[in-house]
Amino acid sequence: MDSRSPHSVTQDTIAAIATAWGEAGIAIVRLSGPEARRLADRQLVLTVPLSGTPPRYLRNGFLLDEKGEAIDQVLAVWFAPPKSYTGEEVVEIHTHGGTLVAQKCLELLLCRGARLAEPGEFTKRAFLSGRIDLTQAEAVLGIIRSRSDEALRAAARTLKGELASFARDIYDELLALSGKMEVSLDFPEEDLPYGNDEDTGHSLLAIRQSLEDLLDRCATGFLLREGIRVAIVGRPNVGKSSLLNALLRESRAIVTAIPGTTRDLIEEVLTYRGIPLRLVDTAGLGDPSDEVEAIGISLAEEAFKNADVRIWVADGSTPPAPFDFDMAERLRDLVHVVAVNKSDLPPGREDTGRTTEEAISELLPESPVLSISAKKGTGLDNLKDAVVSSIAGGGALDSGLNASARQVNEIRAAIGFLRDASEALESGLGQDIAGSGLAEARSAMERLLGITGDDTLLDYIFSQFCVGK
Amino acid sequence: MAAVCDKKYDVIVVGGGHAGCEAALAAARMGAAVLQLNLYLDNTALMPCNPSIGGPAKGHLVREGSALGGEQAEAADRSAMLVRWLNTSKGPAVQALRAQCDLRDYAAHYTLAVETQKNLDVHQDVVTDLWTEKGRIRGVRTKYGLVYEGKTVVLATGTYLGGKVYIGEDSFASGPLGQVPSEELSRSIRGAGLETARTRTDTTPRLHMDSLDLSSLTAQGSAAEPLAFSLWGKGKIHEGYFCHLTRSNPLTHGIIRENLHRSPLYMGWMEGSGPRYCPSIEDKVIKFPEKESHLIFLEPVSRGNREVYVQNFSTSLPYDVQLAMVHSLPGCASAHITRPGYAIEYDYVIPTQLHPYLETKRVEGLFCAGQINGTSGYEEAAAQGLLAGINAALKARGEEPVVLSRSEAYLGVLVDDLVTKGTKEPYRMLTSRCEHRLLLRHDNADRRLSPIGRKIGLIGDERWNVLLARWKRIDTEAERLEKAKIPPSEGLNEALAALGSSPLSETVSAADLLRRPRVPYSLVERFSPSPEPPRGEEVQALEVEIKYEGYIERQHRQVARLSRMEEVRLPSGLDYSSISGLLAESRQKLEALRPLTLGQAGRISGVTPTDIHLLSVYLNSLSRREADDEEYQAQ
Repeated sequence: MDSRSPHSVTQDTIAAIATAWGEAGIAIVRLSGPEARRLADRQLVLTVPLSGTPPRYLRNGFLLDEKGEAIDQVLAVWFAPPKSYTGEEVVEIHTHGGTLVAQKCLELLLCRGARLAEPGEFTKRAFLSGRIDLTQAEAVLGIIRSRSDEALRAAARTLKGELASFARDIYDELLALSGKMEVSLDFPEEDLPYGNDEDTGHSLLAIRQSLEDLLDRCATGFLLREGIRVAIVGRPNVGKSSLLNALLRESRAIVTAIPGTTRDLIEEVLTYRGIPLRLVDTAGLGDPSDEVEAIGISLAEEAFKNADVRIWVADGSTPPAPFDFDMAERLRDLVHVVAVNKSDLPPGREDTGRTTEEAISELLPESPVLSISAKKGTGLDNLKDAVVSSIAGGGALDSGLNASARQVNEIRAAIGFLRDASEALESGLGQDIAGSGLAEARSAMERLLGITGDDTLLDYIFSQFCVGK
Repeated sequence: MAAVCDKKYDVIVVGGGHAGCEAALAAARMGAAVLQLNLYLDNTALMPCNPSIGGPAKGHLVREGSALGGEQAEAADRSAMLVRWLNTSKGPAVQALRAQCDLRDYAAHYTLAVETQKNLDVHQDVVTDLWTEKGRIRGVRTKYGLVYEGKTVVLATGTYLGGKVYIGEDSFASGPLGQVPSEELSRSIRGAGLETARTRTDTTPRLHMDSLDLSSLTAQGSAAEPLAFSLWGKGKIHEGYFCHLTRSNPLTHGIIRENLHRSPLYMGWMEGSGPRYCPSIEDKVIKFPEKESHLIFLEPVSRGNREVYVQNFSTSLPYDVQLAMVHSLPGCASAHITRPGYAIEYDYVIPTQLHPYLETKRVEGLFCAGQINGTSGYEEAAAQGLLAGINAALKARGEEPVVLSRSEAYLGVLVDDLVTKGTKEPYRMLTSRCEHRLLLRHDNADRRLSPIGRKIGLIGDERWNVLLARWKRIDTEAERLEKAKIPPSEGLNEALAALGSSPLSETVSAADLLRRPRVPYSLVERFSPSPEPPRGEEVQALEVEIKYEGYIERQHRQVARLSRMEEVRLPSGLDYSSISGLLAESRQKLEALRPLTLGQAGRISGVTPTDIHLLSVYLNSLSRREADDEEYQAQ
């Protein structure tokens, strides 16, 4: 066999939900790797197992839960290497309803031995197996964080409701402003209502602000879907590992252990209310005693910095130490939740007192503070709720808009183009330069909305302005 | 029995208008044996609408034509009665020249050019039939009973194909008012397998200058500096001719509303969709009822007659209504109409049937240029004629065609829009159609396109040397400005303050001073004199290149990113039905249009980015399979 042949490369089998997070008619769970069919067949009862089905042939059947009971009617199909997206053996399972069933299906597959795909890993594998070349890989750079082209498609399909309507409103404003500027550039001899550069500048700023707001909400939604990175911090022996284990034990849905981006930190993933929480235990955040520990600490620092939320585990059975004051200082401007552990234990020594919720609240008056017992497993749901709320804001998960990474990028791009347009206008470089910036922003929004802008501007101009010879 | 002309031509051009003349001249200048057939020789390069050349985007096209070795800029300069710069305060990309031309001088220039051109035979005759064999053009047959054989044919038939004129309730077969239409050729074009559609355009009544009272109207004269479209033109200062401004008013609009039922448009007689950007005055009144007045220009059309064109007042209402409408305009109370406005409806070839080098996909060797492709305007026509003439000559020689990209020329945008998206109304060039307009400026057309004109043989040594000297002057000065230092001084800071720019606190390079917004080259040069300062328009080119460096570079980067898509060629026999995942609508469009590159495919309306992604993955697997096969065979 040709040594470049992609399926001879030994790799683990990865799985992910390929469709966007949120409500949709169906969701697709995708597996890629040498074990894809075998894993699927163990979790599904199909009219004919995939192992006996020709590739690209859709089978009907049921998804079983861990007790062997059918929980959803599904469709499954497999693609033989090398004629699949990744060039590997690929299975797709189509489940019903939004994320819940798909999430369950994914969890079951992960229990069977599949590994949760990293964002963009399907595309990465397609590239590595020679299915797409570097040019194309670069071409999909904008979508590399979404998991596959199907995900993109699904995002476009499910792009409805709030995101679309907000984005559409902003797009319409952009179009109107663009139209006003362009018409005066193309028809200089007509009496047109182009105001002055100052008014245009104000409009540009207002539109940019709307985009920034939209971006905030999308970022939240994105986080909810891609997972919240949670760093567990606190001084040694405060119960960080116990908390981690308790969280994992308590959640039946232990997903998997993924070696983190750094080799020495272990990232554990569990899902809570359908949202992946990526937990990193930052053991040994504090003063290093030797060089090895120093490396560990710098990794922990990194994780601390990069996390979306930090759980500060404080020891409820001892009084606050200097470390705690430092930690409170460091956390002040970061998203965090405080867990007071061992609050049920008697104080270590009679005279030393303990760290109470009130004491923490004095240090960090704005912070959510919860009492837990890692050992007994109490207060964990409240803690997870607090973690999710700290991201979603007010606990309303659906305030986050369901945008894909690609869509978030387009919003960012549009903001950048509008900033350039404002600068060009302010420095008197000309309406044509500002107009070009607006046009760029417009096409970013068109890509976001999945509409072709072809003649939209001209349609707008000719419907709004009376021009022509 | 038709007589067969025993001379065989490389290129036969059908039409003697702006596109036809440019095509014939370009091909003949490239050494091809060219025949130009014009149905009435006295109408060479006729301007049946407003004899104005230029304006934003259109003026860019004229300058681009000049840079490639075309003739229109020369004709416009030679015949201009008044010239102005437009959009001077709106940025470097949209500044453009506009000239009011003497339509007789303009036509005379082209007439002499084609009549004296070596390798070019000009005949009056009416082409009735295309001679095709096995999907190839062989020549044309004519009304006067001749058969001409040619390797290639360029159709530049303007508004004459099945032309029909409407004035109120009256309509008759006609080319531009009073001209002979071409009746048979349309059928022959359809017989050759090309799809045609109807479109229409309107024009305004002409008035007798001596019947107007212009004294109360605002006059607009020519610029005080010498201006020229041609890269080699000296330009001159034009005096003595003016456009006058007047306005429609509630009275005019009332007359129009009362008589709408007599408009062929509102009676539903006409088939074609008219242009939105060039609406008739009755269209404007209906669509924008809240506007009580529209700006109207009274413009001279020739030094040799007393006719006046009524710009922005095109109409196809009946003659008596036109008279009442005109009389309601300030300054026109007792105006005499020399000829009425009218609408003309005609056939055009749906342009998505063309390659980006203007050859039809269906009939090899057959090219189309100008209004036959659904465009509007003399500038759009001439530019296409030039490109079609160039490519017909190249085809006759057996050489690769010239395709201009969207980042290279307005002409590239124009042709790409036509062949990729088609058009449902007469297509007018606009700067807003152009996504890289900062790169496609009036002032750098020579740098963009003259090397191409030179390469194909349209720019001779003398003209080329003028350009080389010009570019050298600009580049040398740009380099000098980077090195030259300007210290702060009282005089300089005073001058800066007057411009609203902050004072200089330390020594800077002359280029950095020029990079400041609103600081002109003249100021920089005053404080850092040049041994050989650039002249005239060169100053603008220099200023823009330095001042807008960052923006220009960014557009270049965008182009480079997109060019990867432009470089991926799609095989001509690509089987789109074998590509899984394509949307059905996209597949149909791709099959019908057969784009040349992945980039072009992406611009087809309705084809989504995901389709392009799938297409790209498919192409790659194709090329890998081929590579695997070769490897296998090598073993």
